[in-house]
Amino acid sequence: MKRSVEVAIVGGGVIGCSIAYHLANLGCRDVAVYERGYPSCGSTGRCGAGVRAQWGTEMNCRLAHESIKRFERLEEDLDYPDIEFKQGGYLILAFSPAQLRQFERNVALQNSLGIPSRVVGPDEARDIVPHLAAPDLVGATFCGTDGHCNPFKVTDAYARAARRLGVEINTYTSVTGFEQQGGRVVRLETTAGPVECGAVVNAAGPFSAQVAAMAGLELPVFSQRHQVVVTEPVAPKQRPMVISFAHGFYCQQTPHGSFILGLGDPAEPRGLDIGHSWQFLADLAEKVEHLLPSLGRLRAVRQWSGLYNVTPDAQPILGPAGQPANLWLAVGFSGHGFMLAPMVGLTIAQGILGMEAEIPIDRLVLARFARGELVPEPSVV
Amino acid sequence: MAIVECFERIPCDPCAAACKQGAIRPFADICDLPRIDHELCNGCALCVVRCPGLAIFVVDASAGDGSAVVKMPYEHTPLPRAGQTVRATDRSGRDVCAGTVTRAQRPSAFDHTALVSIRVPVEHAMDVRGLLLPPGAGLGAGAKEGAQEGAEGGAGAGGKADARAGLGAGVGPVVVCRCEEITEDDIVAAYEAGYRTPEEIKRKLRCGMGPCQGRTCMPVVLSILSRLSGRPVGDMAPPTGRPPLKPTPLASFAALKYGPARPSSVEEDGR
Ligand SMILES: Cc1cc2nc3c(=O)[nH]c(=O)nc-3n(C[C@H](O)[C@H](O)[C@H](O)COP(=O)(O)OP(=O)(O)OC[C@H]3O[C@@H](n4cnc5c(N)ncnc54)[C@H](O)[C@@H]3O)c2cc1C
Ligand code: SF4
Ligand code: SF4
Ligand code: FES
Repeated sequence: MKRSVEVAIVGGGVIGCSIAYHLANLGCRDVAVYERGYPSCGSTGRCGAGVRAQWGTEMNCRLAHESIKRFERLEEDLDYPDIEFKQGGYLILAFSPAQLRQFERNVALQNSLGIPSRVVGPDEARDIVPHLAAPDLVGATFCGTDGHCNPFKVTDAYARAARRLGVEINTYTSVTGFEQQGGRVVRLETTAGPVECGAVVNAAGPFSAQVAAMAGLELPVFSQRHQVVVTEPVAPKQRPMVISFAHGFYCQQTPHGSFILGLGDPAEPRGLDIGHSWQFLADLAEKVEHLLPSLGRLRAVRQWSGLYNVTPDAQPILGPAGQPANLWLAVGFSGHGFMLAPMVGLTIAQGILGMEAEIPIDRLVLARFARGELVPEPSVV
Repeated sequence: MAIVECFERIPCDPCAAACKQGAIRPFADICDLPRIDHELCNGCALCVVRCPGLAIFVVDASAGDGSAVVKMPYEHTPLPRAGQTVRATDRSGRDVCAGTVTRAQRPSAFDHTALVSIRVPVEHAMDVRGLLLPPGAGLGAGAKEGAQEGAEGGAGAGGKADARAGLGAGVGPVVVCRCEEITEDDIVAAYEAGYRTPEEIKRKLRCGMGPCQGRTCMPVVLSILSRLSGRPVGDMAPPTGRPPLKPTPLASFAALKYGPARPSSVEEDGR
């Protein structure tokens, strides 16, 4: 392991690995990632890996839309056999006239940015997903270029490409502390010994607050469990991801044939619990009965959970921390860090290297909370 | 008496219903861990075959001649024969001692799980939790045996040629994971490409993610990795077990009536 690096990245999830790859690809190859487990053992490997450009704020629309274009050519760019990117679209369900009006505004914004989404009525929604029941459906929006991929493979692809460019990826290595001098982090303590560094990136996902605290920085984030269940594989039946913000529900069929279903629970306590509960299965079964009843016959084979890292406006914190001066943040992604990873990796790398960002992300800096300039995103599960 | 090695708080309770003696106390919450009243348990082993997690064993040391009978669930073919000598293994498939099969039953009421009883020296009774048939007793068993030999001889010797000489020797591709059709060669190739831990192999190849959730293949995957890496099976963390233990229709969960209790299993992401 190197004892001195230009950029040290704490966390080897999809975000850390994407930043590492983009740094190296932009010419900065003296980079190391420190990952407590293996790449994608954290939230990334546990996520639904849905990818959509149908967002309610311009920032998210642009980051996600550009990221989708990169997912489309990721196998080629990273020379990786198969990330299982399936563009079956996202069908977002509306259950009240007010929600539908919000969706109409979102679609207008999305279309203005070149995102090919559209509003559909209940009948067309059922043409798109024939087993959709939801008798009280008011309308929906659909975008055919949305989809989902395999999160392990995407992260593995970034990590391997980064390694080929000279990045050091240290697995099973934790960062345990920072040493500061003159307002800068000059050294990391790791379980494999100390490393001197020019800059540090906090990409520790649900542990972002703990890692920031090592640098004496308090982040306005918390972590929260979200649960998922996967069924036995069956013949292709559902192309798009079906999602309802009103029910906190999402459901997709992977290329492998299994269905992945998730449900957010507003009463879920904050913390780092990643256990599983059968109450989740009971709640989920109820939503399935209402929305997609024919899936009730499918047999659940595996249940797990992962952590969201949540900010006050459900938008990530991206950019320099300010204090320490050479600490960068890429944290607080709620339930949508996976789909933004290509553009987050690129723009953070550009920031660190003093280049102009492809999409300006300055509105997402940490200081927005102190200034009261939140950017609330309405379209989250 | 019945020994329950059920340590995960998962929604599962067939053992309580299986026991006709009332020895397994009724569950207040479906995620409770079973508790056995050994005064009431008569060692009938009805619970052994009902447990989808293969987590219950009956140990009978009443013979008093220095031996004990361990009754265990068995889900492979062929079924051992009474009188046959087998190798008794521990939970992770490591060889413990020789054992003699005293009984092997697979009545239809057992839902495809057989019950095999083996006699072992009493001092090993609390370690023995599995068995391996002698080589040549069928392809499946032969494959497991090969894995076992590999695991034993693996220390420091895990080279490529060695790897090839493992399970597949003479019988063509060996399917390790039946659910996802993953062969030994796939696992060796993934290992050589840098996926080193059971968890990474599972993520890359999907072995262990099928309907049986790795109960069939994971012991063999661990022994292959052990042979390749030279690390003992016991040092490797198998992937986390995930509920439900048996594929269960989603709709059936809707019927669950539940109270206010919320987190049912606490697994801190902290390592
Ligand atoms: C159930 C669920 C469903 C989701 N669905 C979606 C979805 O459909 N679409 C989407 O875009 N997003 C989704 N998300 C969100 C997405 O998973 C996350 O936003 C994203 O994976 C964050 O990536 P990350 O790299 O920041 O975090 P992580 O993947 O958690 O990576 C952080 C890494 O840092 C490591 N680490 C922490 N502390 C240290 C330390 N001190 N030293 C060394 N290493 C350390 C951890 O081991 C971990 O691997 C979902 C999340 C969950 C939980
Ligand atoms: S062995 Fe028989 S009596 Fe004992 S706990 Fe199991 S079912 Fe009950
Ligand atoms: S896994 Fe076996 S022992 Fe544990 S609760 Fe289920 S049936 Fe009982
Ligand atoms: S045999 Fe591997 S998951 Fe079932």
